[in-house]
Amino acid sequence: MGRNNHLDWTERYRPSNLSEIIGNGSAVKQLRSWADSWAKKRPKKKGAILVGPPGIGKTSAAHALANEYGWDMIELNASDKRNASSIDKVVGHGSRSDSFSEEGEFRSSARGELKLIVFDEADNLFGREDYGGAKAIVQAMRSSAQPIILIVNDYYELTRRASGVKKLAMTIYMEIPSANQVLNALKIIISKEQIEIPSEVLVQIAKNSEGDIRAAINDLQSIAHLRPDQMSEVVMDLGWRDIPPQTYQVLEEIFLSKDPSEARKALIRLDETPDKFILWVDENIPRVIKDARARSSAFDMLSRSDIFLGRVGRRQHYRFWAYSSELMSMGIAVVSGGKFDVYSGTIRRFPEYLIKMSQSKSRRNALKTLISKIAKEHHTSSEVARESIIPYIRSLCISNTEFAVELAMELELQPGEIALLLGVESDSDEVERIMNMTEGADRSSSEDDEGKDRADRCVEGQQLSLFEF
Amino acid sequence: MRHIWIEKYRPKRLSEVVGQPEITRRLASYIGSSNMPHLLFAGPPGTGKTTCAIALSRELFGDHWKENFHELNASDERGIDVVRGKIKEYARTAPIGSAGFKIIFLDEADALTPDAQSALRRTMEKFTLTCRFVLSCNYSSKIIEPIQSRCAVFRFRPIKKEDISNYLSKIADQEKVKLSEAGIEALIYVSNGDMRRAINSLQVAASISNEVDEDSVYQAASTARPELVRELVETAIKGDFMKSRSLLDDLLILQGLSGEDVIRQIHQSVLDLPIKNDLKVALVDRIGEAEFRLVEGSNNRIQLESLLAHFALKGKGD
Repeated sequence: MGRNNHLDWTERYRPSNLSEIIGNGSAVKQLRSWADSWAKKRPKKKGAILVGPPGIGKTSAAHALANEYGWDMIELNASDKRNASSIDKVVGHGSRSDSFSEEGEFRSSARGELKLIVFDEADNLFGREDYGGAKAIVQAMRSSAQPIILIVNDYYELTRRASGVKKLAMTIYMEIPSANQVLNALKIIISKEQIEIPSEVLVQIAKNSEGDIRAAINDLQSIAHLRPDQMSEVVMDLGWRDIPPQTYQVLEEIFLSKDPSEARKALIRLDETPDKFILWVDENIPRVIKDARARSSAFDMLSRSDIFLGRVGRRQHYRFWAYSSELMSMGIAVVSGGKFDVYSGTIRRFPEYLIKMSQSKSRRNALKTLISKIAKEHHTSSEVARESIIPYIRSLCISNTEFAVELAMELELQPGEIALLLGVESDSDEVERIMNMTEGADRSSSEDDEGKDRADRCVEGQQLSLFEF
Repeated sequence: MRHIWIEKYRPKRLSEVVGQPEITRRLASYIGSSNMPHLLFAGPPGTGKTTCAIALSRELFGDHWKENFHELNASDERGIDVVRGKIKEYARTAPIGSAGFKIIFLDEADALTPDAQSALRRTMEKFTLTCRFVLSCNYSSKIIEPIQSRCAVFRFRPIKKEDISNYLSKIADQEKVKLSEAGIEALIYVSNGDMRRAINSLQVAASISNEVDEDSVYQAASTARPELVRELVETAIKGDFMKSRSLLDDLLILQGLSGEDVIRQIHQSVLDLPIKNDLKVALVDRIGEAEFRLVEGSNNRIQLESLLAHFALKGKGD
């Protein structure tokens, strides 16, 4: 099956085996011994609770375990409705009916017919909708004939709601991997993807992740399509280093958790101003919310949030930040929280918009200077130059090299500006030829210019739309 | 610039200016007296406002016209700081050569904020000895009353068909381009009374074929028409939000359009869309709201995305 075809690298490179789990040697050992006891039909404990912060491999460990032991797996996460009856249905199906009714008796299922039941984000499932869910989990674990794993960030939240699990399950703490361990994981991925990434970029991503492997892989994927020099620029200069810790977790609270007021609190704790953070929320709304109505409501909320930011800017009345923050956290959570069946890996940690801005910096500068040169030449505004003059000039430059060369000389156009007019990259041959011809013409006009012939050829057959730049 | 026809054939003397006989006659009288009041030129684009201002300066100042004529574009520099800084700085210095004053040509003056206009009014009064202002705008109503009352107002009308036609024929002759009657008709149609657009279209059409006819004119015009915004709107209405967001980024980031540019073009393309009128009205209402929020808010892209998300919803028939 196509796990390897997953678009999300966090899915594509999920460990298929416990030995691939990053770090956490002792947690893996404990997990194996628990699983072995099940495999030997003498389970020490019915369940295991995997505890640790987001993105360090808890879910992956559960997946890897099922895979390694050849067990089927039934997984429930925050997006499922987990009230008592649905838990009963799933667990009942997985743990009792199958094994007992079909095999006659549970102990006879020795050929890997165990089913691993995984409650992901188990500390997050006891909202009002999940009434009775906590109790049902304890109940399920007590009566289960199948191994159950509960995955939690917050052990106390779980045991407070379902104290019975303490006795029924083995608690395994997973540790935050070091930056070096994350770095090694990233290196394996890029060698499999056969891409080249400057090492300082990898180190920075690993450092930034603070042990959150999922975030690191997401970051890696979000820049993988760039050229190496652009990667450096994006990661080193774009404030990537300044992404506050916990950004990703706050986004999860906003988009996935069921309690909007938690989203608000999480954003308050985050060391980031709302005018910056809004870009992160903006990036993720359409990634998480595909339903047109909900998406429109979410953007409407964000639009209102942005209006308060505008008012702060104009009046320097920073109190408005509170409303802006609440609309972008609580407000979006009300629309989104726990309603959509998305994998948390879809949440992006770095806004594509900023990457595009950084990537196009030199192009935008060239565009700006080109527009202002032409506006000045034609006694007009930038807007008129861009909309009513440049399109025509582009067309003339594309169809007539001589015209392009003369224009380049008169306005002292730079390669980047010529590239925009021709609709090509600034390091392309066409641009170089035109630059050479302007120099040639500067030196001497009598010299026989073979460049002209070449340049004539190079623009031949180009039918670019004038607005492609 | 001699290679671009709109500059090459920009009239240098008031008597050569096409299609505004009353205006050029009035302006010419200032040359005789070597003096003039502040002027306000109002009228649509491409009707000769800038051309008249330049020609007037040339004839008033002769060889020193460039030193004594200063152009500023208010839509690029619209804040009060520009008025207090650049404009004041220029206005207070003495004219060069024998000129009795110098001219500040403030193009698109209607883009100045009301505050900046008030500051401008004071500058206009204070430096009348050394400096005259020529303000140009599309709508005189956007210029505050105290400024209007200090200026001689000139209203530029769209240039008549025959005048455009004659001028185009003259250019075609000089450039040795064959221009058919149908070609002229097409140029007049696509330019909608805007001389700049007519001449630009003629030059592009001439670069496509030495015989400019209806076909080459429409071909030239189509290359210069922005299709991206229409695609943006259609993609959003079809419901492909992610793609429409990426098109939006192309406009904002790669083409450097401002949020207001984009919304204005969205407005135009929605009006042109082949959709039911009740839906059109609903969208127009929301576009207006989006522009309002864009002006009030801080991040143009978020406001535009919100509009696109709304289009995607409406496109579903909700």
